[in-house]
Amino acid sequence: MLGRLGYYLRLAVLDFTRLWHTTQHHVVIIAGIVLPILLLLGLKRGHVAELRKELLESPTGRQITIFSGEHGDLITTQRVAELSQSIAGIELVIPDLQKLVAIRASGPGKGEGEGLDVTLFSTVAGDPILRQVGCEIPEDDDTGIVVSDLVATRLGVGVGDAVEVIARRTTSRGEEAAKASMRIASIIHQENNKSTVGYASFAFLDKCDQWTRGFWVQSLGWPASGDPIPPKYSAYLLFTEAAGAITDDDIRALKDRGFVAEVTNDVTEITLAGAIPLEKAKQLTVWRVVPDGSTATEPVWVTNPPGEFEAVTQADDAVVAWNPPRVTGEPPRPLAGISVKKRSWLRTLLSSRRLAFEPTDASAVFIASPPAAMSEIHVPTRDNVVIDLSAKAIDSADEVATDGDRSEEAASGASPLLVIPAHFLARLGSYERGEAEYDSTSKVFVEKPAPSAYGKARVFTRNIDDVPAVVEALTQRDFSVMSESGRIAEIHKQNGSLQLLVWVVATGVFLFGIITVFSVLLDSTDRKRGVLGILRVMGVSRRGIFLLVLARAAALGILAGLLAVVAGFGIEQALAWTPPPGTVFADWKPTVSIQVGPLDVAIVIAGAILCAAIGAILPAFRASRIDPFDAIVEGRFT
Amino acid sequence: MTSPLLEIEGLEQRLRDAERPEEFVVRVQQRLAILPGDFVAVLGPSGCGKTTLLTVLGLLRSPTNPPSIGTFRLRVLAGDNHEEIDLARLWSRRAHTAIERVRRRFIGFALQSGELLPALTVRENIEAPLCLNGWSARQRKPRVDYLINAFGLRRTRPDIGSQQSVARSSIYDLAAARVNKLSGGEYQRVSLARSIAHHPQLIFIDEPTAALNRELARGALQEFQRLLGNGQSQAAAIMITHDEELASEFANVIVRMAPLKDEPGGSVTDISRRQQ
Repeated sequence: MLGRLGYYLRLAVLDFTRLWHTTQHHVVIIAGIVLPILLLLGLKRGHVAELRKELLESPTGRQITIFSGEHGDLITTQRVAELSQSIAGIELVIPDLQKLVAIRASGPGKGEGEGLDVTLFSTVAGDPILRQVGCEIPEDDDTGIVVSDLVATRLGVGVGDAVEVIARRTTSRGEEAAKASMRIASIIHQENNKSTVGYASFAFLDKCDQWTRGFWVQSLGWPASGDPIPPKYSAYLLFTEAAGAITDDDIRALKDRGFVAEVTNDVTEITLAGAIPLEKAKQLTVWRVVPDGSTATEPVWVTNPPGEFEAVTQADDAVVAWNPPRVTGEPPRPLAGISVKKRSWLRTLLSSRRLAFEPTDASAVFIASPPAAMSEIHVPTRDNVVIDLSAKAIDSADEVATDGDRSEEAASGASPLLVIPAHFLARLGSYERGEAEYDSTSKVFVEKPAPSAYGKARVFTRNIDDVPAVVEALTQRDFSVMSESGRIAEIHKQNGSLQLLVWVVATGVFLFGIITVFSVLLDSTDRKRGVLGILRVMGVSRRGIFLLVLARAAALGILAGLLAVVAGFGIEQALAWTPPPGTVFADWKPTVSIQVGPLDVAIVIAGAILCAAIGAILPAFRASRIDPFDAIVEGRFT
Repeated sequence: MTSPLLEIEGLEQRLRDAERPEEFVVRVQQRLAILPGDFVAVLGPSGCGKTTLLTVLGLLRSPTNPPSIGTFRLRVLAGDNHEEIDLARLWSRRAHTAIERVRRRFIGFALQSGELLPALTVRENIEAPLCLNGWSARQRKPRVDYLINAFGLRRTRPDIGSQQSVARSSIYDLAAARVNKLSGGEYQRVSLARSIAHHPQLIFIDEPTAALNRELARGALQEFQRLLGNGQSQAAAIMITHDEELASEFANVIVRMAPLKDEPGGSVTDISRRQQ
């Protein structure tokens, strides 16, 4: 059966090839039918490609500018990573950041003067906008900057030269500047719009931004603005000399302000960690005032100045902001934070008048109780960071501790008390809790930098076709979006319209083709009635005849399809040819972009085969039904 | 006694011709039995239904009313066994696939004008029935070579159509030539060779002298008869002709047909068997 099937196919091919003179016009007819489809497909592809070309060549085609909308998330570094991972089609997200800095050439004789004011825009390695102009900043290198040729000319620098970038900020202390050593990675050539602009890595500009906002930038060694974080206390100690000095009205008044007051007998608290001799402390009534709901394990931190509490109560009390002392150093010593108002009666009770700081004392020099020879205190804190405090011994004239006390300390081996301002101990606690950073440059505790958040970013898609989907995804995340999606959508729309047009025309041509092929093959099959009759006489089945005619038509379709493709490519080349300037004989010729793709070729060849095969069905059926002897008899005379 | 290869009796074949008001009738009233080795000549004047009878006997057309036929059967040798095929029953059941198989396997045709396939060469034409019957290339080659030699188709001759090719090559291999290059006699011999290529048991020859002169036809038929075994073969040949001389020379069974008197058509009027 299979052998016979193969023989039918062989007969079809032999009939097609050896009797070429009878089939060549069929090939040309079918090729002529499918050729317009190929040209239409190519024309559509070429037209859309022309439309896309401009956008493809321009990186702004695939750039989407996003803004944090009313409900949209702010654009943080974390958000940038999340967007890149969660939205398919995003290649790059660059938070939009610009900083006005001064740039000064480095090197002998150059590093003088204020520098040239330049606006730096944020970029990253692979930024298509920079790539378009042949510039790039290196990956993993925050020291490269790209400047306009105007900047380069004015500074007298070229690619690879070192420059100083100077950032400025205004603080309570006045205007401050910070410098960073950078180098010129590329120079942008500007045609008309000469301006002093440049690009720096987003990471660098982000640091500049943090510094401008007052934060400490450790990696660049740029100090914080100097404004320390507010000190946080766990309690306030109210010292009164008379037992009933604090009345119920005072306690109620404190409660109204959210504080709970209760008498404390804790030795550490009533002696201020030993700064007040115990005998004297016992003569006092000490109230511990804590925020309502605060516990020893989970304190509620407060930042009220102690004077507020003195004003609330009617008593002649002395209020000390209090955090429990800690132990530090080797050998371990208690480190207490004690700040007492200068004119407070409490100072008279201290072992030494200078054992306590004043609340407003922001000095970074700290007093240590003996040993007097100690000049530095090393405070180990979190992450193995050691904060070195300058120590100052108490003058011997200020010593009020009794010899007995000293003897007791010496006998017990207890370490002498170290005292620092209460606010410093409070800030040290904030630092250890990770709520603050210690700016070792300025020696102040500063607010921990909040993650940078920006209102605008540039998003680049992998190609322009991804833009509409990415815009949609970003819009769903409540970002306000600005992009070329309108133009891209227009291209897609035109592509769709042309596609529809092509299909409508192709369907018409295809149907027409089927009818033509049907007529041609019907005629051709009628002419071959004699041959088909002989085959039937020799015992070829009806199915065999049907298959034979169909196979012959398919071979015809393949050859017609190939012919159409060859002709199509020829026409494509001819239409795309642009006459050289001055070619008089061809100056009338327009240049038409036709792009025949592999898919078009496949469609056309498949279409030609299908056209021939469908058109051959009825002739094949008719051929299979012919009376063999009649066919032979009729065939003799044709 | 040898069983008939083909047996038919009581056939009334009616043909309706669109151009004529009446039907054309062909009748075989008496029993026609064709034995293996027979060379049957069907004689009669033009228009008496000889070719119509051939189309029915050669299974090219369905009998008008198959169940009404008295006898219409074929007894063929399939391998070592005889297979009896009730043709009237096959036609009654419209078993076209079975009929096509019988025609393909057991019947050969050498028609009036040869009726070769124009796209094929001489060799390919001769091996066509072999291909259709599933012969392998290895089986086909010796058989086709034998027939080409036997019918004198191995000969070479100058290419008459082209003086240039004569100058270039004075020989022309007929076996490899397309059939449009053949002369009338060569064409007829190829047709005869093709008709017996697959060892059919019933061979129909339609008007061998229609397209050839008698001498050429005689030569071809002599070759044909020799290959059939001069009556010793299991195959039988049925030749439609109106050439009495040719019939008496080759046939051992003469079937005479005559026109009907009262209606268009003809019938078998005499069947005579000559003892060989």
